[in-house]
Amino acid sequence: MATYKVLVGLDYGKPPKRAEAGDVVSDLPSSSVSWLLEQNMIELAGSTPSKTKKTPVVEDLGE
Amino acid sequence: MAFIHGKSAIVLQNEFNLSTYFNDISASRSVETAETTSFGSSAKSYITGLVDGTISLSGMFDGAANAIDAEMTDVLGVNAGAVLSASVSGVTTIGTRMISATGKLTSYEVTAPVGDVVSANAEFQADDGIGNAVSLAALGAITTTTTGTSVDNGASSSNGGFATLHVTANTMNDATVCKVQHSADNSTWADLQSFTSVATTVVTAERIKVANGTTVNRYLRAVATPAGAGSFTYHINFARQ
Repeated sequence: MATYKVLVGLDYGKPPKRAEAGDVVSDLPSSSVSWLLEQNMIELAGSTPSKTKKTPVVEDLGE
Repeated sequence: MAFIHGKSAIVLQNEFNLSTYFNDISASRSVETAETTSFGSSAKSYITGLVDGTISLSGMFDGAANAIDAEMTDVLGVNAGAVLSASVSGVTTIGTRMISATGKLTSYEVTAPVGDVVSANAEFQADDGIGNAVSLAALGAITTTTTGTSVDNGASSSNGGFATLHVTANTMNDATVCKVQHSADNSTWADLQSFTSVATTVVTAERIKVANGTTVNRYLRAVATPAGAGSFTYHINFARQ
């Protein structure tokens, strides 16, 4: 599930929840996410790590 | 379509409901035009320019504190002008079309004829035009947090607007926060414009411009959050541009 950083105060959900600017939330109604992103009211903060794969890090030692 | 009588019109000026002193209100809007007629034209053509507006109020003189004479003379010569809202339909229920403006008082005339009531007439020049507002909170008292029902504009607009608050009575023993919210889906609401926090027992008015170019979503509503105990009498409207 994606998480979003709130950029303007939002009231959402039932029962109503409040998120202030700066809060990171993951329970925004999916139907609202697109217009909130489009109008720069939220920004993607990340997603839960459950489905991400670890990528091995290769260090370049310069040899 | 329903026609309405003017007998119940409401006039709010700053933190005062002056309706009982007036018996006539006239709001005049105009748009200047610049001629673009060129050689070869068969008729004159024009492009529109800047909008403008004036508000005229006529009524009866009263020299008591907080009555018409005191409030008009208080704003005469004040560059900030007066916050004006009016409803020609006589109600301020949510969704009612309103007139809103920041008015600079350009004339105030008191007339005392020997055979008639003493009258008072005022002319305001609208600063930044007269707004075609819609009521988001009916003039009335609340004691707890109140979220107004939403007003559907049918579509979003893209040029900002004006948010107006009048607080005509306040016995709250703590501050009250009022704001206008907007929504694209009538479900999730974003703060559009917050008013200055209203301190305990303060009566006031504020008209804030939402910058030109700002998207104002299809749905609007007002939220008032009083703290403490008491009563808070207010009205909020919003004029899209």
